[in-house]
Amino acid sequence: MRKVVITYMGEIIGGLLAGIIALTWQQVVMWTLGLSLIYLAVKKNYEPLLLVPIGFGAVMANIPLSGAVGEGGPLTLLLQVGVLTELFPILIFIGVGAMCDFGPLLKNPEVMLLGAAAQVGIFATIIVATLLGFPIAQATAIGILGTADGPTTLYVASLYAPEILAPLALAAYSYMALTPLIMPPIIKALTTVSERKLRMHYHSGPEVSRTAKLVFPLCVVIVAGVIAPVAVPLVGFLMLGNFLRESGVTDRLSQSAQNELINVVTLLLGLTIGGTMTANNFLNVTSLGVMMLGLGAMTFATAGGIIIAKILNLFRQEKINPMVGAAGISAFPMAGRVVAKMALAEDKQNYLLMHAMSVNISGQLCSIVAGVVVIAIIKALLGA
Amino acid sequence: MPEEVRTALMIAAIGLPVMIGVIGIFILLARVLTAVFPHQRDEA
Repeated sequence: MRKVVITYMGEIIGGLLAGIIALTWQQVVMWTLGLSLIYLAVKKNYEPLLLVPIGFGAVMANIPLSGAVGEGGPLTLLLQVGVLTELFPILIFIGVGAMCDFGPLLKNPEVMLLGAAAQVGIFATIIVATLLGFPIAQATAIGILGTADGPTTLYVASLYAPEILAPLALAAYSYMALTPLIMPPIIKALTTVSERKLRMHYHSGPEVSRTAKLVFPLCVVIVAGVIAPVAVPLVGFLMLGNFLRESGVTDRLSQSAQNELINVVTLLLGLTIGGTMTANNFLNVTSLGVMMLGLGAMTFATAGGIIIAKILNLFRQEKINPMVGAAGISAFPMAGRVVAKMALAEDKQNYLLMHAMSVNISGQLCSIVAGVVVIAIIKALLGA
Repeated sequence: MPEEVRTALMIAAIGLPVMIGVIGIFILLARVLTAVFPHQRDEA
């Protein structure tokens, strides 16, 4: 009888201690990383809506024998249902579309050239990634980091490289949050003081009609869809959100898309990404490479926008402040604000905010176009 | 040159002009829409 009790007690104690026995130092490192993300979000206000769920998910996923991940675990279920099916990024696009005002872009559509210029970083990063030995599918997903657009990055990653989803998501959202730290040194390195002081006049011109704003999203879906049918989910959901905003008869849906929908999906997406950040998945050379290349992609993108703005200036009478080109990355509205702030720091009367924001919004659209073009080419080249 | 790098170069060589072409179409579309549907004073 005594022997049975001892065995029974042993089993209970063994069960209670199983978590502690199974704990590895790698999991402790991941807890630290998860807690650091939560700290950055709460204390420094860096992308809190994403970094808090990502950090929390990472902690939960790295608790030994965690029921949150693995077969039947809620975080794994969310990954299978929401991310690997590309559903969550697509749903977020409805909210992003509902938040975008394409009015300034319709008023001055040439700013889209600067938005396109900032996407050059994608192609440069894809080449560098393959030179470093990444397979083409992973290199493509890494290159999309150059858009500085989280949902597009996740969409492409879930299509081609779900195995590196966690470092890609972390790179995308942490670098977006760090835009105010990443962009200024690149801008300063590539521009002179006199270029940064260059003033741009704002031509108010006639307003854009409501009909034009209504027809634009519909035309974009049809044109982009016909050119690249693979684009329909990305562009279609973005423009649906924008149509809800502009139609004037679906205010409740537009408000829901901008608030409840995007908030709920962002929470689930963040948790899911955190759930993929298990020590086995994350603590390896590939993740480190992805993070480094992500920073390179942002640098290439910022530099691309500035350089193309300078090239355009060679042919224009009315010069563009080259800093505005840097706002073409999709990190909205941070990139536009950084540029406007830098202009004011050089010259207290130099108000570039309207120009920078127009380019920033065009970057939002161009990043999606770039993502779609890359997907279409990969599909044509590799049949993937 | 490794096959992967060659594919990456090909993606860049095709992707850049295609992307600029699509953006060009959007610029044209924006121009056409604002010309066909000009802002009316009573809309404001």
